[in-house]
Amino acid sequence: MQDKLAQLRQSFSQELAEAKSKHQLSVLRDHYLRRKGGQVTLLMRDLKLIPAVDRRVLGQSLNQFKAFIEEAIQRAEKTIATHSLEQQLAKDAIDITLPGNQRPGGHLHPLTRVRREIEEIFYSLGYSVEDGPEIETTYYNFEALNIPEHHPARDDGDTFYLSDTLLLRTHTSPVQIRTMERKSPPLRIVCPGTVYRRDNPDATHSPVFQQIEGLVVDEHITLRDFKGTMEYFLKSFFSEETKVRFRPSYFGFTEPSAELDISCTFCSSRGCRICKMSGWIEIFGAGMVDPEVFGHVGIDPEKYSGFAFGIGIDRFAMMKYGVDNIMHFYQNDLRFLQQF
Amino acid sequence: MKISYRWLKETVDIPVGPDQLAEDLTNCGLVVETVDVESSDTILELDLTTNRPDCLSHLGVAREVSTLYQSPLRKSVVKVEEFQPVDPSQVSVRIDSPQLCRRYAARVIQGVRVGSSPDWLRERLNSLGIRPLNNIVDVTNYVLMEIGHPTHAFDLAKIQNAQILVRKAQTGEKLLTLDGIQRHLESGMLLITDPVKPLALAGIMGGQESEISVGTGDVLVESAWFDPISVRKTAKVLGLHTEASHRFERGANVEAILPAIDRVAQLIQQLAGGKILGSMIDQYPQPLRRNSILLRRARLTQLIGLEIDSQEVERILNFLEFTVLKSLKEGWTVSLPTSRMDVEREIDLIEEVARHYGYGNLPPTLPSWRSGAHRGPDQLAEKIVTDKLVNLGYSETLTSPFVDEKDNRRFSSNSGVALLNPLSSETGVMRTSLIPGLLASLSWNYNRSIRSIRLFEIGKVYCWADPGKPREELRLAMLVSGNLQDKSIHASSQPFTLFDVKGDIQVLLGSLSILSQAVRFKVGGTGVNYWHPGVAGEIWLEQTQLGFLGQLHPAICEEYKVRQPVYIAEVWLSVLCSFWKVTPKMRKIPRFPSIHRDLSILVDQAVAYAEIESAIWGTGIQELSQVLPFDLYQGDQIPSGKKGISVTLVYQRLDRTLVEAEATCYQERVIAHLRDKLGAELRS
Repeated sequence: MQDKLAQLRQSFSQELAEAKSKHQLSVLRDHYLRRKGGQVTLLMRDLKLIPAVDRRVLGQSLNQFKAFIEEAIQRAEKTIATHSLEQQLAKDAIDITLPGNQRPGGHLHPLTRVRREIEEIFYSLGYSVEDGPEIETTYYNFEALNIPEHHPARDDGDTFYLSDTLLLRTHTSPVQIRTMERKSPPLRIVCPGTVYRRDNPDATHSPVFQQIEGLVVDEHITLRDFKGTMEYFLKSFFSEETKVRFRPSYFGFTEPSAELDISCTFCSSRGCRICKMSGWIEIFGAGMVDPEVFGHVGIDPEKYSGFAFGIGIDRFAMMKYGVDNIMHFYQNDLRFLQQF
Repeated sequence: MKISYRWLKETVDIPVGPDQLAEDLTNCGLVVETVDVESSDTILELDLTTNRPDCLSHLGVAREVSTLYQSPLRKSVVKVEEFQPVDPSQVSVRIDSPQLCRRYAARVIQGVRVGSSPDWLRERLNSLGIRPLNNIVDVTNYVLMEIGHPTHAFDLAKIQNAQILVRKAQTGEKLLTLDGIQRHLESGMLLITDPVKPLALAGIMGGQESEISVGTGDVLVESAWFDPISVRKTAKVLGLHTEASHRFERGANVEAILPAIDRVAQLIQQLAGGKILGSMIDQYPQPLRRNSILLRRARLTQLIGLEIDSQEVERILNFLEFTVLKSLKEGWTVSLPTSRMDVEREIDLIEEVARHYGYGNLPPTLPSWRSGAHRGPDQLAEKIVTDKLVNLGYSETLTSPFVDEKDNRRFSSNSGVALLNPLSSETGVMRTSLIPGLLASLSWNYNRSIRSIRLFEIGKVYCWADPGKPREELRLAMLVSGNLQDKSIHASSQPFTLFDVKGDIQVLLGSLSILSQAVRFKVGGTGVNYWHPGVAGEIWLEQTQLGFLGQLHPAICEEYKVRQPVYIAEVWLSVLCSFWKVTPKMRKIPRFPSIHRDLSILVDQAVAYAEIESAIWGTGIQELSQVLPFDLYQGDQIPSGKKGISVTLVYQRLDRTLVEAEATCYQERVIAHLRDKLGAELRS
């Protein structure tokens, strides 16, 4: 029996080395360990024929051999599984340098992007957003803003009229008037929207463009507050390094009035074609609300003061993104829109 | 306005060079556009705001300079040597329209020799861009640049009876102006005339007939004040803008009339000889009186946000010639000069002080506040819609609301709001639909070989609610055309279908927490003819129409030269916002597994899918949670006139696991119901 076991050991080693598949391994296991007729099973059965003195040692050897077979086959199975997975994965390899599947993305219009950016800055300062009609009366667009009849700003060369008394608003200031009529101070609002000027289209003029105007009315609002707010806004929108210049100017709606310049974003104030070598770019008009305007809406100018400003969204977008022609905003060329 | 640095220096001491002066002037509100260095002088080009006609002269700018640098103004005193008095029967002035001509002064200089001006005068005018003509006209222009008040010289011999009459024109009158153009005058235009004919357009331009020529011997110089609005209107109607009208339109200084006429007379005599006749004619029926006003110290401090030293305030006001009459505890009583008609209120004086104190010298502050702010619901809805569409692959567009009337007629039943003065007839009305704008954008891209296009616009449409009462409505329009997926190395191209737009609308409504059950799509019935007749429908939210969607009629595509299907949806945002649930409420997530069962049926061709789905829901099975169609078959495998539809029905309970037998029972109920309602048969 010892010899038989030795023989089996040898043949198992040989057959295990030859087994190359899961199936062959399972056949191999059956051949040695099957409950009926397995080579080791047969030896186990013959064990009782062995004299008792030898039986214990031999039995131990047989059990060890059985465990060895089980373990060896499991190990071999694992190796084969790993190998076949590797083969499979090697087959699955792809050329990842091929282009990705890009789902075409949509794009926010650059003017919407800029409008939202401006709105966010003013939300952070406690302003709310107000809306109003684009078709306005001459009263709201002009008279209430202290722009009387025969004022040069009222030339029909500059304004689209629908009738004697109706026009397309030339700024969003009428929204400020309507808000002051509806609500009492304190007020902090911005009014974004489409406005119209009867300009022939060119690189910097469009008869239709976007504006966002702001208004603050409260007790004790000062010219310094106006300055501080505008500086905060412009630095937030452009950059902390932006310098702001306030020049006295003239608008019917405001007194004192100011024209705001910022240090040229194109040449860092060294002087270029865009800032006409001055280092400054004019960006918008603003000022303290004229007491006359408060008079139109029944706010006591002795008690309240405030300031107002009007920002051209198109102009800000052109400056921020380096857009060279305002017409890009209204042509909707996807090659343009997709850049934002 | 061109200003000579050298000339300015003759009037006031300037402690800085031209470049620094330009910067300082700009910072106090007189914007210097350019600084041109010439051989013997530097010319500053000023871009003045319309409220500052007082700075349209060297004297006016010098006043600002004197305030800037606290250097006194050197005003030259003009002494006129008068000869024998004017015989009133010989020369006379009458003002018929005293509202439009507040004051009219005239001087006669007898026996002048008209010739060219000396070099210094010619050079000075040339450097300011004025062409020298002869010594008389050049003098009036020189004084215009010096003092800023326009004057005019007539050839006295050409004035009938030497009688000046200031009156309004009558219809049909004509005047050949100095520029050689025959002007047809409208009634009401203010004229300088003699008893028989017009001589000049008051405050705008003289007439050729009475102009100064080589033969002129006696000159009548006019210095007057004309009404700004009248001058502006006339100048505009005639399309005539002159140095004189520019100043009168903005408001001339009534008290500069005499200094100007004296200066002109003096210079004419100096350069062209002759005798100045005395005494001057000065018609000034109602002299202008300006009241002094009070500038309150507290108000000044409150508005500026800073206490400015009293001496500083007084210095600024006095240098600007707002003479401080009284310095009181509460403030200052200030007189207002006629040169500054733009300043009439306390607030105007505050601006003057702030302007010269320097905006740049005010330390910035932020106002304190007692409340916060956030987006309102409509702004939030618009933002959610915009962001969702962008996420779905649509690019946002902005188009002009001006369209051609024929576009409005084609895409809506409302007629547009027409402009009285459009830039062109193609942009003559306000849009009543967003579709024309989107089509223009489509066409722009298509013509540039961009063929896969997904666009949307959120914008207003405009119509008359009632005559004279406009209405604006916010709309959303979406457009897709070309491929949902372009062909690539990984997949073949996949063209858009109507169901891509429809699906996007469903996703969009979902993102506004609108339940899918509330949304219905109705076949056809859009009542317009720009759709493909078989591929269009309406979108409804419960009982309200939300908009419509469809394929654009191929004939219209052809007109836009777009040779691929175009799908469009237009949505009324106000309706959408009214359905929007600002705050979504959580629905329970099922804890137990659901059962999926497929069902294949045959129905008549004419039966719409929506009827099938609605019949399935009509069974009222509480456990039915989803109906998911997955196959549509029409062909020779089934009887003609029929179509096969397969759906997966999902059954679900929130409180326990369903058993198979229950699902089988539900399936049978569904089949029976479909057979009943739609004559559906089970497909084997």
